[in-house]
Amino acid sequence: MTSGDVATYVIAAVILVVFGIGARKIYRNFFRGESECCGSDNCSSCSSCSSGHTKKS
Amino acid sequence: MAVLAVALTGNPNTGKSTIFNELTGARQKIGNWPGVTVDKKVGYTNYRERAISVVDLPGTYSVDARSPEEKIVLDYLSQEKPDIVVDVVDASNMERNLFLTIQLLEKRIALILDLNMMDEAQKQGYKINVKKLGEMLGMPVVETVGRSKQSTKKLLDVFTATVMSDYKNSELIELHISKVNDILEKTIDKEEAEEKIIALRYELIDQIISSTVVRPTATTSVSEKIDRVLANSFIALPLLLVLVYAVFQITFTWIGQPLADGIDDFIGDVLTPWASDGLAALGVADWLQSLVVDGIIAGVGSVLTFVPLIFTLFFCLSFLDGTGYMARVAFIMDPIMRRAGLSGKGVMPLIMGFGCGVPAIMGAKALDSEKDRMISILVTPFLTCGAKLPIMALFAALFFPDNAADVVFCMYIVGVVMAICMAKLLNVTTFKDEKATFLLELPPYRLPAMKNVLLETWDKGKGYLIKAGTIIFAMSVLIWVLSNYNFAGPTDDMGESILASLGSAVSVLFTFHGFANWENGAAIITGILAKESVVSTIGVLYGVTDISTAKDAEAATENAVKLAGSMGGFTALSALSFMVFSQLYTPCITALGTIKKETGKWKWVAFAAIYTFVAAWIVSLLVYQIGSLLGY
Repeated sequence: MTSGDVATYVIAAVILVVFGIGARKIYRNFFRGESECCGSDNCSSCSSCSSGHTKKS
Repeated sequence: MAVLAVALTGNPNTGKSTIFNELTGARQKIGNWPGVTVDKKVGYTNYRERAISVVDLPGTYSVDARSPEEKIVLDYLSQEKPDIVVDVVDASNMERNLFLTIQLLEKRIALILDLNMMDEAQKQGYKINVKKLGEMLGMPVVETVGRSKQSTKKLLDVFTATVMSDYKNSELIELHISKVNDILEKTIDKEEAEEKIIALRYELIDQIISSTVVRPTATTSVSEKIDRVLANSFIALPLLLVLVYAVFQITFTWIGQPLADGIDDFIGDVLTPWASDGLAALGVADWLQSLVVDGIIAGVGSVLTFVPLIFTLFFCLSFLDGTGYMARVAFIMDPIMRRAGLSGKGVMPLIMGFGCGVPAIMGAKALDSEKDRMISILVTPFLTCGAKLPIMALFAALFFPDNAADVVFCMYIVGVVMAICMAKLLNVTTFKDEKATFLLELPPYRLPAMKNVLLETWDKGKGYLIKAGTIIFAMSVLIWVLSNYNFAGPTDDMGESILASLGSAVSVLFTFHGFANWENGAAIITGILAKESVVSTIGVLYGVTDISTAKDAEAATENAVKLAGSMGGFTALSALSFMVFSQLYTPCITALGTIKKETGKWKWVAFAAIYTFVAAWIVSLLVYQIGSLLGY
């Protein structure tokens, strides 16, 4: 196995892992209604409060 | 000793959630109230060896049980009967806040009144006789300042020392309740009875306020003076359009675009050659080199180029929101929304749609009627969210280089107009109901704290970055694979690939739209997974990422030629038609998932997906055909 082959396998594995993360995100976004903008507790735009103005409590 | 159950109730914007967070810290659980998609927040704390559970009930202005939030509050208080119910009141706005208090007392729910935001009230010149207020209402009254350890301790002292059964309604309240019962017994017409009871409540509130509150000398506040101009019925809407136009100029001409050019140069002149040379030097297989450079870097890079535009736009919107102006937008848009059959309150979640459609769809739950909620959810996809911005920016920069900001501004207007028109159509066809009233609190104008604006900008924009690194990455890999392989194996001709077959099948629908080729069909398909994918698909299939115009007209022309050069390629008119279609068609998969979550029914997901596609198809067809007839 050449160094080129090793590099190919390593890079391909990394790409596959990130691809899997992306595919899982697509699945969760659709079937669970999750969204990137709701990733943090500070995401005021995603709270269940009544409007963009009642978020400021 | 049993856990002490405390419930926090009160109007929105009274600092209830801040108090909840201060009381419970990190020991919170957020779920859903049964049967609805309203958050249920429960927290725990210990004080003086007493375990205390705190429920943060949804903020409501009343408990008439018209909206899910009001029903939740009423049901929880009457069925769960918590040991302590705290009514959190904005001390500088007692006339409005005490309406809920009086309603709860009529239902014989024993309360502790928490006069919150006392610092603000004192700053404005209010003086409150707290002792007399407690006597008139027949309840303990506590003064607090939201985020203050002293206030938190004061509340906890009251919780653990108060025995609610020791408190009975005052004579004043009992007299009011007997008058209410009298009206209910003697008035046959329900609406008339309700009006009389509301009038009675406000009479009582006036009596209490006049006896216990010394108001500051009535002067016109700075906010009111500014509102005489910005919220003036004649010039408010033109001013709003000017302000939004200015935001676009900042984003596309002055700040966002130059930064985007810089990123584009880095990707094109530094990253791509470095990756290409580096991978070749490592001896990586040719197919993997192509995947990384022509697939991932081209795809993700084309989306990342627009990061400065996204963040600049979000910064401007967050700044405007922080000044309090966005609340006035709802007020300005109220007459237009009413003509469309929506209450002005429907503007509030739609405004969020300019950042991302997901919170806008979720925000619809705050609307009072089911009709308003459904219409708001179904028209939100027409708005230009942050993810659609790269599509608009790319085509506007390439095909309308002298007027890019103007064209993108027009696309935003197209989205808003379409949302209003479809709201009207849905109002008279699918959903028929009475109009809801609109109660809006206008916060005072203020210069927002830059830290908060930057945090909110980051909050809104980081989702874009996360998406680029995950979903767009995955899409770019998928597009590269599908465009370089057919069912027989690898192919050198993209036109023979799997993606070409899929794209060709879709592109048939656009024969009369001016962009009927497989590459555009493929971009439309991937755009349903994530709107930014339209740009990354174009980046992978056409090799176009450079959107610089003023800086390098030659490169821009070269890219425009690339886009125009394909079979059925783009002209300025067909690019405009494509932009309109991309603006309006089926929402992304995340938005569709949120629609399912909020409506609970797959039929609304299917309806949203199909009717937006059909609407976009019709409008973009009209744009192209009418433009062709006019000689463009």
